[in-house]
Amino acid sequence: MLAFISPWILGFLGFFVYPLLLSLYYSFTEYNLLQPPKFVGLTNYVNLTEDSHYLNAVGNTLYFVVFSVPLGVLTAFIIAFLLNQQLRLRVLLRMIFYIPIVVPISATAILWMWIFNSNWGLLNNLLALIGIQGPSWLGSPTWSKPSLVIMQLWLVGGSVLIFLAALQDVPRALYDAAMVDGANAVRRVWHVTIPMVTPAILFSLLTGLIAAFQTFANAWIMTGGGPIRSTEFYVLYLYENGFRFFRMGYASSMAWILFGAVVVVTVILFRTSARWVYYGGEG
Amino acid sequence: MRTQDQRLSRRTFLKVTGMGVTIAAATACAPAAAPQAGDDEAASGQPAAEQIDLDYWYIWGGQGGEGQVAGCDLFTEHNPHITMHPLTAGGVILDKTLAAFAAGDPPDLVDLILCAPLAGRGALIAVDDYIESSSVVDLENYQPAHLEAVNWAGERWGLPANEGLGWLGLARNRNLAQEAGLDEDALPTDFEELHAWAGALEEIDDDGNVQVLGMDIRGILTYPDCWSVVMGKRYFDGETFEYNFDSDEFAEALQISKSFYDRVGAEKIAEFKAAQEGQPIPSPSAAGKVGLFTGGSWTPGSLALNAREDLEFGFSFVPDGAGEGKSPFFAGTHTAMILNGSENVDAAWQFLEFTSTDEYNRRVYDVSGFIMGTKSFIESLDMSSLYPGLDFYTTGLSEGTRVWGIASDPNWYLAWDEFLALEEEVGFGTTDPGEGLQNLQEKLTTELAKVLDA
Amino acid sequence: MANIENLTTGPVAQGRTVRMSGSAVGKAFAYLAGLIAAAAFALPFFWMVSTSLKVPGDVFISPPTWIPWPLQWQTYPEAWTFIPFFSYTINTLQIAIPSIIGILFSCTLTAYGFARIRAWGRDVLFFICLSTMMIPWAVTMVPVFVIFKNLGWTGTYLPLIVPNFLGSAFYIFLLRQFFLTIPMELSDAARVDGCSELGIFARIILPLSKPVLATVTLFEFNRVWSDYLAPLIFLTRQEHFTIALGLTYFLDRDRPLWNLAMAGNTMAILPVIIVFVLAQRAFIEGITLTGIKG
Repeated sequence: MLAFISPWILGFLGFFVYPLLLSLYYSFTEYNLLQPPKFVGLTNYVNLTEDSHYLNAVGNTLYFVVFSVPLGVLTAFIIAFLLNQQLRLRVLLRMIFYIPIVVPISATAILWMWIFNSNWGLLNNLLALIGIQGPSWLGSPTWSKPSLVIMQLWLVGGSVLIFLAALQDVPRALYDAAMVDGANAVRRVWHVTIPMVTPAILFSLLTGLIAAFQTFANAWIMTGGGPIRSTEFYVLYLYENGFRFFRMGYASSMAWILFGAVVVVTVILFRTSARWVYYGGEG
Repeated sequence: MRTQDQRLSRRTFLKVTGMGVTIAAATACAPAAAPQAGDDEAASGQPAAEQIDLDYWYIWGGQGGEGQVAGCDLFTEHNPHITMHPLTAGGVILDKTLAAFAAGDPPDLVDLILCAPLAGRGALIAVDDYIESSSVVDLENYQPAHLEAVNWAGERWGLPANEGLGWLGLARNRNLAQEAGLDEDALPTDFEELHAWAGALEEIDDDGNVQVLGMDIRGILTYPDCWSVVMGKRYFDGETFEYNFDSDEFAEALQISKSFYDRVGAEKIAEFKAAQEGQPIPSPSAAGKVGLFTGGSWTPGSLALNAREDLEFGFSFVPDGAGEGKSPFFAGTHTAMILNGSENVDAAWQFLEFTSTDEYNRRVYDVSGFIMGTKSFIESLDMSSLYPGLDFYTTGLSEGTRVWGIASDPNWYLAWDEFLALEEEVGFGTTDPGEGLQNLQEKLTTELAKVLDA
Repeated sequence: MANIENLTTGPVAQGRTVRMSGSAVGKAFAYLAGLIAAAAFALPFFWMVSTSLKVPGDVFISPPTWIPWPLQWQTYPEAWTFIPFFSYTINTLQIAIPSIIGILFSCTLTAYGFARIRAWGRDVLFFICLSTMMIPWAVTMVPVFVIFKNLGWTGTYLPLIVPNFLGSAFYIFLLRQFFLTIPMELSDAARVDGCSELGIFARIILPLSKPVLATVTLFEFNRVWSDYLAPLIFLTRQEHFTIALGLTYFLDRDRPLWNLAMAGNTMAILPVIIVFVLAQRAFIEGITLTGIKG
């Protein structure tokens, strides 16, 4: 096995161990990137517990993770499932679902601001058709996070492709067998399709979680963290501290807390995955 | 197409009026650059001046970047042994500079809007000695307010360069003002009058949607320095190293700001902010949806190029919040500085020096339209024939009665971010202004102590 | 070997997509849902192209005009010359192609090791590998920069290319998940036939993984193509810049040329779409393992 994983081991030793240890050291220092770090012990970690902006960022991020990840996996699965039917135009449709990821975020962001505009935006015009007066999406501290979650759902093209690749691998014989047993469409999905794509679900969930904990670009470009810090996410606050406010030591301690939290979540997910993820290779 | 025409006409205009000046400047400068070069040559001696490479990072891309490249080329024409490597770093210029510095690979020169954050942390070379011995640089030729941007702890750490006029003017949509029957000869001089104007301009439909925003107050707060000059109280005193956010003036500033949030509801203001992201001016104002807003010297050009053709805009001073009847004007600039760690400090200084010449600024301007606010260069331009309203930003420098520059605050970026957020929180009514300012004051004071300790 | 190859190629491949049921209603529903969703997803692309064909003054009219008239096609040649489009494209390809090769090489090997060879400590190592994704890049960026500087790589493309030859946790994880679904019987049968581990990897696992290899290729190409921060931080010469960096030039503060920017964006995503179309072929050639699990 070692021979096979040696490229990664080299990369890990070369480009990860040293940076990781150094950033761990920075987290115990006052470091402005321009002058040598000054050791301050646990000060950064202690200060974090009293930093209301930090705690606010933790809350915002948890909100985003809890809503965007499961909804994203579900959306991606449904789209992939539809695409896997023998629809005409499916080659074109696949491309269309991938396109939002290809379009640069600067273009995407402007478009979504227009969609969310409360006066003449697309979303509120649609809602008005069914008699609902839509909120001021990006202007409201209540609706700003849901807005970004909605936008995230539309960036699931990558997961769609992964699910598609997984669906391609589901042996047709399994469906045939299920048909012979008299299973209807819903049961076939539940008992054949879903179990067979559980490895892809685990992948999407885990990478989705890791990415959502580190969500950055959406708020960085679209809201700048506002209004009133309602979209100031963890890594946005971390980044600003490190590269704008000259507090890289503080940012590093934030990074290590995040690291710890994500590791715990990942371990839990992995431990439970044995119960619901089905690998053909281990069967 | 319209854009093209305007650019062409501007170019044509420059060719006519600029030519004489350019030649005059070129002849004036040629000997000027020489003595400095002479020093170097004397030092390095015979082997035909060894080749020097200078890395120079700035923020702009596109047309602005081309202007920088042209300026660098001009410098190399005068100093063939120095090759410039100009680079557009975009909005993350500070981040890129910090990362490169920390990795031990900094550029020689970088262009930011003030020196104090880097100077205060030992990352810059002080240039007072160079300035003193220079026969090219004339501090008298700079706007005094612009020079504030290079200060830290009693020394100068760079020179204003490339772009800088006034950064605070009250812009009004003249079409809307005329529709509302407002008298443009009696512009608002205090915030009560500004409210009256905003009230006359704003248009809110039956559903509560803001069709026209009377006054977009956020612009004033682009930087805390804007409120400093409006209220007549510097948020940071660079001589005593003290913050003044806990003063009555700033509490008052937040109240004024809140009163404009309250007119239409904080969410509407926040939405305008969101819609503006990625854009220099409020996009709705380009579409004629804001009556009054504030902006810097780039606003007239930006409006001329991007707003609907039939719209006209006027510019005037922002009201005096201190009630002294003065005309407050915030004069920001960009500053070029030499990083500590440059292997060719003398050559880097030569470039810095060159940015002070009219010849350099003329070249940058010809290519990019960027206007440097040195006195001699402004005089060489006919402002009234450029974008409508641009002349306000040059006359503002001389006619303003309270003209201040940027605070020489090593924590300027932090102060900027936090004050902006606080202003919004107060606008939404979620934070008490006094308490918020007190926290901000303490936070900045703590950070300042770290800078002073090191 | 021979019988395995028979199993994995040939006529079975055709039956890959599943007909859910004969019911016309179900199919009509799938169509309708698919088309509505597709329309929503196509919106940004449509808007981007529409903006690229506008005159500057019409870009920020609210509510937006969806179909500008007359169409301003000249924005495309203008955008092409406004930035050195061609040379930035070549630069980006110089990074993208070696990066893809590096990723395909390193990540398939590593994922194979993690997925299909039992060894002591394997799962712990795999978890460590995963955990490298969990540290925000913002804090490791500077130390990584220091390493590149000491290697003398700053100012070259190497910092953007070489790490890809040493694995990337995301792709390793993705490939591992797929390799795990391939029945072990295939490997066992090959071992019985005297095939080496490397042989199994190259002749059985890789051919069976075409859809996911296509996905990886597409992802990596797209990643390099749109990567903004890493090239910006590590490149020190403007003439080395990539297309993603060049695209930002259109949006100067006082002259944001949105129509040119969108024309540039539209041209810039064409290569990604081409790679997508090529990758589609691999998807379509994907192999279904029929019968193995009985």
